[in-house]
Amino acid sequence: MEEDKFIATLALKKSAIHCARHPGRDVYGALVGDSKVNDAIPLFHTRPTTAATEVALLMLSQFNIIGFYESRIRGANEELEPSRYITQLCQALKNKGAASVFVLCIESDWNESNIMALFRLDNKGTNFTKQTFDASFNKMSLTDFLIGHENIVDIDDHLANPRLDWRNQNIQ
Amino acid sequence: MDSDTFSNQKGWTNKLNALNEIRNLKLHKPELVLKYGATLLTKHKWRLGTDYWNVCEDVFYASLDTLSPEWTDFTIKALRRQFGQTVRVMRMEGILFEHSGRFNEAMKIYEEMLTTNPLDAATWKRKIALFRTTGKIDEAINTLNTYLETFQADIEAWEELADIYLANQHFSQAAYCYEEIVLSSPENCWVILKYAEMLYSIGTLEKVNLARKYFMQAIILNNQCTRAMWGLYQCCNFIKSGKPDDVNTKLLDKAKALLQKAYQGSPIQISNLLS
Repeated sequence: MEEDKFIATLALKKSAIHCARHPGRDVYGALVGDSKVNDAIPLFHTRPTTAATEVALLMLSQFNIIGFYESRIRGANEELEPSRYITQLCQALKNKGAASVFVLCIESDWNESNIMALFRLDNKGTNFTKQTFDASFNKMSLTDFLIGHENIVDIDDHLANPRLDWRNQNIQ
Repeated sequence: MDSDTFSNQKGWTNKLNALNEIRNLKLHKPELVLKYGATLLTKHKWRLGTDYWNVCEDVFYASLDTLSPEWTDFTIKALRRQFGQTVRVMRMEGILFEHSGRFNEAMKIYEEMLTTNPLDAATWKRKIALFRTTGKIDEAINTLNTYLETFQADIEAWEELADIYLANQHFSQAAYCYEEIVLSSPENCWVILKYAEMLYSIGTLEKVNLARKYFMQAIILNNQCTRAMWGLYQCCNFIKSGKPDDVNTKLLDKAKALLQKAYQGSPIQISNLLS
C-alpha cells in the first residue's frame, strides 16, 4: 500500500487547518472514503459527549466513514496513539461491519519530529497497529496547508450556528 | 480600554496601563506583554516605583510563553533578589522547573509550599496541572478531590475535574461535577446544555429522562440553541424506543419542528435525518 497516497491531500489539509484553528485544544474529525481516505470532516474542538457524537454521525450518514483523526494535548509521557474516545468510535465502526478502520493521530506540537502517526484497528477490533506513513510531513508541510485557509467549520461550530457548513467545500 | 486598543501604545504610562488591564482582565497576550514590559523594565525602571515588580512578574510569565530565556532569567533573578523565598517567587521557581521539564523538582517545591500553607489555592492548582502534564491522571483526580473538599465553591476546579473525567469518558463522574456547576450557574445555557449531554451520555432511561428536562431548560434559556434541540430530539427518540408515552411523542414533534425551523436557510438538509 502506498501509504503516502493513502490519505488524499484534501483530507490532510482539512485536518491540519482544523488543528491549527483550535490550538491548545483536543480536536477530532472523521476520515471518509472507500479504500482510501478521500476527505476529512472536522467534528469537535470541545470535549465530545455521546450526545454530540450521535448527532455528528447522524449528519455524516451519507458519507462512508473509514476512520478518524485526532490531535490531543498529551501528558509528557504519553505516546502519540488513539485516545479512549476514538478507540470506542473505531470499535463501534468495526462492529457495524467496516472492513478496515484507521486513525490518524496528529501531534498538537508541530515542532515535534514525527508529527503524524497512522494506525489501523486489527480485525478483532481490540488493538491498533501502527502503519508506515510518509515521514516527510513536518511543520512546514502542514503550515503550507494553512495558506489562504484561516477558517474551517466543524460540527461543534455547526451546532452553534446551523448556517455554517461543516463540509467546508471552499477548501480544495 | 478595549482589548483591540492594547497594541501600539505610545508613552510609558499607556504601556503600563495596558499591562495592568491585560493582567486584570486575565488576557493572554504574551508577545505584547513582553514587548511593553521589556521597554518599561529597561528604559523606565526609575519611573515605575513598586509597579516595577508587577511588570517583572508579567514579563516572567510572558517570557516562558514566548520562549525568551534571557527575560526569564532577568526577571526571576530580580524578583529573587528583592523578595527572596516568598510564596509567589517559589511558585515561579516551580513553574520554571516545569517549563524546563524538571517535573520532580517542581513537585517538590509545590509540596513544600502546601505543607507550609495548605490553603494556597494557586499552588494546589499548579500541583494538579503538573499531574496532568505528566499524565498522572489518577493523582490529578485525587488531588483535585482533596482540593475541592476545602475549596468547594471553586467552579473552575469542578470544571477541571469534569474535563478530566470527560477526557476519559467517565460520564457519571463528570455529571456529578456538573451538578455543582449547575447549582452555581442555574441560568447559564451552556452549563445546562453540557450537564444534559453528560446525563444523556450515561445512557440509562432514568438519566435520559432527566437529560430531556435539562435540554428543554436550555431551549427555554436560549431558543436559538440548536445543540439543545438536537439533544431533546435524541432523548425523545431514546425514550420512544422504550416505553412510549404521549408527553414524549409531543416533545419529539416539538423537537423536530424546532430543528426544521432552525435549519431554514442552512446549507445542510436534515429533513431526511429526522425519523
